[in-house]
Amino acid sequence: MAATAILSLALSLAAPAAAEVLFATSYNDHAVTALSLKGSTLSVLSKSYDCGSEPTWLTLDYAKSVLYCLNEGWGGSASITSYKTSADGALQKQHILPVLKSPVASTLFGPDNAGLAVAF
Amino acid sequence: MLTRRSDTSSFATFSVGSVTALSQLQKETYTLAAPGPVPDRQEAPHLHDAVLDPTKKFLLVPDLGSDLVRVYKINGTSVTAVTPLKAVPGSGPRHAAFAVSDGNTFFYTLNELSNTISGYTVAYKDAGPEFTRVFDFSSHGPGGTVPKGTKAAEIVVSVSELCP
Repeated sequence: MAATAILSLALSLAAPAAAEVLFATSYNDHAVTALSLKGSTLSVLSKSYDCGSEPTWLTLDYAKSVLYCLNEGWGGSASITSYKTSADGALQKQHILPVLKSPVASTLFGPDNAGLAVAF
Repeated sequence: MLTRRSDTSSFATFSVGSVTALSQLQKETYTLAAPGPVPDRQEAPHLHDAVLDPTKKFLLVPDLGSDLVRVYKINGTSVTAVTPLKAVPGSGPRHAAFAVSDGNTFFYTLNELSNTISGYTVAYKDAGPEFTRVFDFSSHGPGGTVPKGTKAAEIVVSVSELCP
């Protein structure tokens, strides 16, 4: 499962009209990758290695330009990373919170999206 | 080489109101008294998804190991467990999605172990949402079959109004 997983999840839109920014995670390169989609052409805008060894699930708060990434942490420690996003695809790490092993999915909830619910 | 994940059978909530200061709010860890009908995958609870319902008042959390969809009532950023949805035994609900059409709410689970999709109607009562299963058919469509070893993994719903 781990060896062949390519894009484990979450394509999220965050951009002005002309170009679309997609975010993807991979166990293979341990990265969160921001991609530009123009027409049918995908190109890499940036990569972040701040979501640990097994980045698996992304939740985007589009209104706040914040991206949350879960790291399953099979071989090391699990964590949640928060990023600020921008239209050019840059990901700026805001916080890394260590959590219980094997977070696999998340969703925002509560007033002003102030809560993140996570399944383990 | 990684051989098997050791899921931690838990559901947790985090405060993300400050993006530079995430913190855990609540955590529930579950156990199984005995393995489920598919014992090699249902030896323990495996919580696999977290979905906000269309009213934004409930969180739905499929538990593949327990054949349940756990349901939590939201109050601010705190949550309280209410009556869970009982899935088909041995189905292993993994991911879930809602649809609202003509004022009616529908809930779907994608079941990894049975490779089926279960559909439910949803009625909101004071105590929480009540689910009535209206179908459970192959992830390849009613009457369909899937290749040996298939493990259904994800579901996305497009209501007809969005898909002319």
